Amino acid sequence: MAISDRPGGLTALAVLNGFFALASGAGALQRFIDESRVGDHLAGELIPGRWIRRRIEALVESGIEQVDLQLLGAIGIVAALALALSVWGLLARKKWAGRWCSTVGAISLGTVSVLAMIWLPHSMIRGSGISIVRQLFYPLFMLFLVQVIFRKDLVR
Amino acid sequence: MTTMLRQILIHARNSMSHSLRSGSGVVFIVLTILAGLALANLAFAPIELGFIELEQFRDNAAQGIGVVLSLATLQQGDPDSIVGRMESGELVEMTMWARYLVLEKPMLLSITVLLLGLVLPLLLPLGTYTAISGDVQHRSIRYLLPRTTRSSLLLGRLLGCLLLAWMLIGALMAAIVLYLGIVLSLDSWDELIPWGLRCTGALLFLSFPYVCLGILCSTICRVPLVALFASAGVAVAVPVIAFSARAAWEPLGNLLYLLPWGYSHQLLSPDAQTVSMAMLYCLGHGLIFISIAHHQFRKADL
Amino acid sequence: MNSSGHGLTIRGLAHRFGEKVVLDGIEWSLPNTGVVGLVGPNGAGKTTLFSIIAGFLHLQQGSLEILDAPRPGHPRLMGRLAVMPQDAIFARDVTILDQLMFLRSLDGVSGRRARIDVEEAMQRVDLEDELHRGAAVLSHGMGKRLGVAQAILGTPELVLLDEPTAGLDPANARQVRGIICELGKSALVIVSSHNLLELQEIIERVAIISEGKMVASGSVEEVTRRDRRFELRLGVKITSDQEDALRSCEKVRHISCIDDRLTVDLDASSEGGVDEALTELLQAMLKEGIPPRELREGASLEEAYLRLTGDSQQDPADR
Repeated sequence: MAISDRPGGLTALAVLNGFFALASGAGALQRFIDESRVGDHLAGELIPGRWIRRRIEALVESGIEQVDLQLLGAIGIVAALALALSVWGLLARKKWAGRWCSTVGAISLGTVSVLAMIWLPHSMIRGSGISIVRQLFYPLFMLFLVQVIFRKDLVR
Repeated sequence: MTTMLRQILIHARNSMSHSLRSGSGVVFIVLTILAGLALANLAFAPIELGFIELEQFRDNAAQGIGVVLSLATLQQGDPDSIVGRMESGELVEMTMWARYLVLEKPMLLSITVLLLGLVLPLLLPLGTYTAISGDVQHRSIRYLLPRTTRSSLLLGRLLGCLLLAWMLIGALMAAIVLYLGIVLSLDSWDELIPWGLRCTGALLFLSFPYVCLGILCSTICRVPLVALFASAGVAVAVPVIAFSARAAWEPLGNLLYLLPWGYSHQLLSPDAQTVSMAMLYCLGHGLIFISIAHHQFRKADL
Repeated sequence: MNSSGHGLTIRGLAHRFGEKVVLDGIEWSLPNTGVVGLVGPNGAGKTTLFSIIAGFLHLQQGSLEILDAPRPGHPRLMGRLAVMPQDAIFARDVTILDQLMFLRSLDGVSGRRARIDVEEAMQRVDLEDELHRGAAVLSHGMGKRLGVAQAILGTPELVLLDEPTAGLDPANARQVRGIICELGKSALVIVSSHNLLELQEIIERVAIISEGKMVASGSVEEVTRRDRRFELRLGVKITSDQEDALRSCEKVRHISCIDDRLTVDLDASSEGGVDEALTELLQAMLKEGIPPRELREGASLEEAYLRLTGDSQQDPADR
């Protein structure tokens, strides 16, 4: 194993970022699928599956636009890509790939959580509200770590 | 004395900064917050998802909390018989206490704090296990000892761990109270804020003996992972052994009082004197642990 | 400094690990300044003695007065005693600057002053370029020098260095020796080392410890009085008859010859001391027609060490 003086916290942060990158990517993919199904629904096509149909109907009833879902998906993709790149950046202690990609990832992740809370229908947010608080905690904590605690460690 | 105090503060600051930089520290912070919010989610979900009506949830919660309180105060019998005794008015004090928590005070906050009281003893060792054992294992303590007294080092590390734990509990409670006030809006701010502060205070007092226990294990065990398993193991083993042993001989149930398990719920009692006593017990318990740790550390070959 | 003018006074010190006695009846008194060597075979108890003085190990029996403190680990010693332990490691993932600044802050010095002290100490061991890196990336030798740097941080009055030059390249070893000599002018420096030739260059006093007992202590001159080694370079290779003739000299304890180099151990314990023994040797050489081209004093300490510790299975002159 290569000898490294990387702080253990950076390694832990890289692992957590990897996990959140996957979660954010999956969430973004879901938004794009929802957007496509909303389009189909509005065009009068029958959505297969009762549970999915209910979900799409709830989205339409909430008044959310297709472009909003696209935006949520796009920001989620940005978050996923930035966080994925930051995994390498944090492990290699890179200034741009580590510190700044984590920052972009954190802001995107937080934005997605806030927008989801504002735009998505209550039936979809209900029961996962505190999970959104949880999703907001991690971006804030990550920003604090990369911009304050590990600022001097991410300089390469 | 001034030198000692200065050194204690330096060690505390260094310990906190190390916690934020180390892998175990980051995991401790993330896990504590996420576990705390997950418990809150568990408490809120039935109401948020509309699985149950608020009034029915209150009744169920009052009964559930009553059973837990009865068990915690070493009332004999299985949960079913305890429910019967509560309904017959035999355990009136427990019934009143449970109703106080769910009817007079913000129910979801009370439930969340009771759940946190069960889980925190298992999470806190993550923040303390390397406090002393990490330096002893790598012998980096030998760079420190010529420059600082053992007492300053131990008390400084304790203060650092305690402050970090308290900051986490404070942040967690703030998030939960804000969520309850802004999103769920079941209770008014006038009810939420004072009860939130009292619950936070209860958790801060509760964390003291467990942080001291973690430091004690970190002082006795020279390998950090052993210290982690020792402190988490003791926290789990004490109630398990106490409840098992009570079945054989009732007085053995008092083993529960080896740790704050036996009285921690009293921190949320409606009676101010009971709360004060529970706070004193927490302090006393912590002081006993830290005194043993101090004695061990002072005479240890490092 | 204590009232008696001694930097360190040890009386009746004994220590055991379980049943095994590792130190027994140690009596040692050292002045306030100077460089002192502590030598002995592996497992003799040197590191244990260091650990007791430094306060790492609990004092079991006997008494220690360190500077003006009545016992090891006394608060009065904080910041005045510095130790370079043999086996301690720095945190691998915290920058060296932060770690040394932290140690200095414990002495009551922080901020800019502490940073200057740290940079100075690191410059003295030639490690100033590594300040912003973690200890994990340092080589063994660099780690040793970092240990020395933390020991000379500030103004310690008693410095304990356990094998400070082990594993260092010659240039760095010389640099560390220079630092030790410099430190010895204002502090009491106790150095443990197996490199006796190197140690002899820098120490004024020495203690030899064997099987937990201090078998000799005093100035280097006192301890090596009986055992003086000289190395001579000759113009020609000597014959076995000539070698026998030199060996028959009264003051010659041992002689060996490799090519044109002659190593002689002299017994300097008589009243005339080393001068008389050397004169006898040189006279015998001139009589045999083998004038020396060059003469220098060799590792007399090693000879004394081997005699006192009984570790003479291998003839040092043959090595």
